Amino acid sequence: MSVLLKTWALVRHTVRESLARKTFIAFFTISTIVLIFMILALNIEAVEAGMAMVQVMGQDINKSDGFDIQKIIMDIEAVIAVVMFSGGIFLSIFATASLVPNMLEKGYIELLVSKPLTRTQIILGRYLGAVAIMGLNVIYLIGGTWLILSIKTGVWYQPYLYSIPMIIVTFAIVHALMVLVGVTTRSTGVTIMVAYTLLFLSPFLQQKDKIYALLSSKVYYYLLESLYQILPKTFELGEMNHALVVGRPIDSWVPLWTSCVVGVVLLSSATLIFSRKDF
Amino acid sequence: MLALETQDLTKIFRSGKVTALDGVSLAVDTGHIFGLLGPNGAGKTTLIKILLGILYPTSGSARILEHPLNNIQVKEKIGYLPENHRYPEFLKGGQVLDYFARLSGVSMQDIQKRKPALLEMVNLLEWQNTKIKKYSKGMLQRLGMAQAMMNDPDILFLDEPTDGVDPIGRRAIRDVLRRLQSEGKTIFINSHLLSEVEMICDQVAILDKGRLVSSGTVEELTSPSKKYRFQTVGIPDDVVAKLKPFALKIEHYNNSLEATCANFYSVNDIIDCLRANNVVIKSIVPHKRTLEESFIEILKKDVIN
Ligand SMILES: Nc1ncnc2c1ncn2[C@@H]1O[C@H](COP(=O)(O)OP(=O)(O)O)[C@@H](O)[C@H]1O
Ligand SMILES: [Mg+2]
Repeated sequence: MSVLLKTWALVRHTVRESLARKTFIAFFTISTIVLIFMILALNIEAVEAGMAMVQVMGQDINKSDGFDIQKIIMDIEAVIAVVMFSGGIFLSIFATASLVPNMLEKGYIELLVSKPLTRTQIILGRYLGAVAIMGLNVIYLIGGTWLILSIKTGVWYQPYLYSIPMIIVTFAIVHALMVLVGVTTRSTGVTIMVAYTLLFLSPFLQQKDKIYALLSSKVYYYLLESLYQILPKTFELGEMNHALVVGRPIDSWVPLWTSCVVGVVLLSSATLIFSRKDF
Repeated sequence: MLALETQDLTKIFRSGKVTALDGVSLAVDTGHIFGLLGPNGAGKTTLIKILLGILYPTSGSARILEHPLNNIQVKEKIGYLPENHRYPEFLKGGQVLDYFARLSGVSMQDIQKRKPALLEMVNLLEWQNTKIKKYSKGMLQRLGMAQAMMNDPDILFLDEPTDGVDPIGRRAIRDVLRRLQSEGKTIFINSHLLSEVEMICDQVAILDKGRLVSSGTVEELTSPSKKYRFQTVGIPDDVVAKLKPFALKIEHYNNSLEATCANFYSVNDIIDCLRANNVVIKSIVPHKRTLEESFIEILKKDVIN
């Protein structure tokens, strides 16, 4: 019980620190602007456009109305989901990269590790705090847009909501890598660089089969193959997110669970390294 | 009962190959104010950090409140003021206390109860809702003291507690420490400021280059002085010459002389000789060494060995 309370104190503190740093406030503000825009725009444009289209085409209002509005809503939601996946993760990396290096600052970390907490708890508290505030943002924006669109149009399209867990899980996996880099280098800059490198590398690794033809040696084949296996497959998770939202069937769940396993391994390594460190 | 006990504690930093602690064995009794003295770089901070699980020892072992070092639970009964502490700057003074108390497992009711009392004690009550970004060094140090006491610890570790604190603040800290001692708490102070330690500690140990070179009560470390100051009404030079056989060393000033004697028999011999030569003695004062003098002497011996 007391273990949970202490970890909760760490999570709370991390959320509070993120809020104090204002990056997430900016994020919330942008989300709120998007929501307000939707509330206003939807009345004048989307719904009326849908109605107009129906009227212009002069078809049976009851049947086509539902169909077209549904399509428009799905398209809008798919766009938000895709933008939130890449843009949200991109911004969150920036907003959370300093959390671990800040925690490791001299004068603070000594006091923190002297408290009745295991080092594992300390890392987990920090990690969960970062994921929590990112998650709150995602829930706010996706959930908010979903509610607004649904209420205004009467089209309740649930698959859009799958993007909430997909985006949070993907960020959680990337953040595990960031914690590992932060613990080993104590550097915000390096943490950001490594996380972005992963995001940029992922699409290439996904295309590895096409690249193999160009390789001069088997060595590179193995290199690419092992990089693909050991790194989180963020690009494929993005595609999966898209497929889920537009209701396309998923070919394979393998990239999701292998990435989750990689995330767990990364976070465990970070914890292990942190546990053995002298401060 | 022992509040703290270390056995052959050794710490070698791999980077730089520094032996910061070299087989330190010491014991601190419950209810004492213990001062660990030593010049900068002696290994004082390293010792405290090992005891609190911030650093891992290269070898050796220790027990705090009868628990081994890897015990997490016992840390709920430990308070710690780090040497150069730094709190997250976005917090207000009161929030710093809340946060670290929660991490120490203190209940909300106890936090609400202790916070105002401790803030009052360190004279920061009106500052609790101010961001610590605006605090001065002395205020931060006082906040650090309050932080270290939020969990009502049985043993309190203070690393250079009077750093950056003005004389009035220092006195306040001393009063607090005495009160804690009267409540049966144990206090472990690291300091290179000897006069501070002399005023408050009842047990001291001297650390130099990672080795324990001396330990005992302040009296034990300061008493073995064999110097006596004789205040007189003028001493002729020829009388001083006659005193030479009785003393190990004699320094002669106008109306006084300082004699280093092997024992108090020679002190009496000197008195006899002075009186026999009609020298009027106004007073004889055994010279009490300050902790600082003993300290320097002990460290000098350590260099020679
Ligand atoms: N993290 C570290 N890495 C390498 N050497 C260190 C480290 N921390 C302390 N030292 C060295 O250990 C010795 C003891 O330091 P310290 O315990 O801070 O001394 P004190 O507190 O008595 O001034 C010093 O020589 C210091 O340079
Ligand atoms: Mg020190």
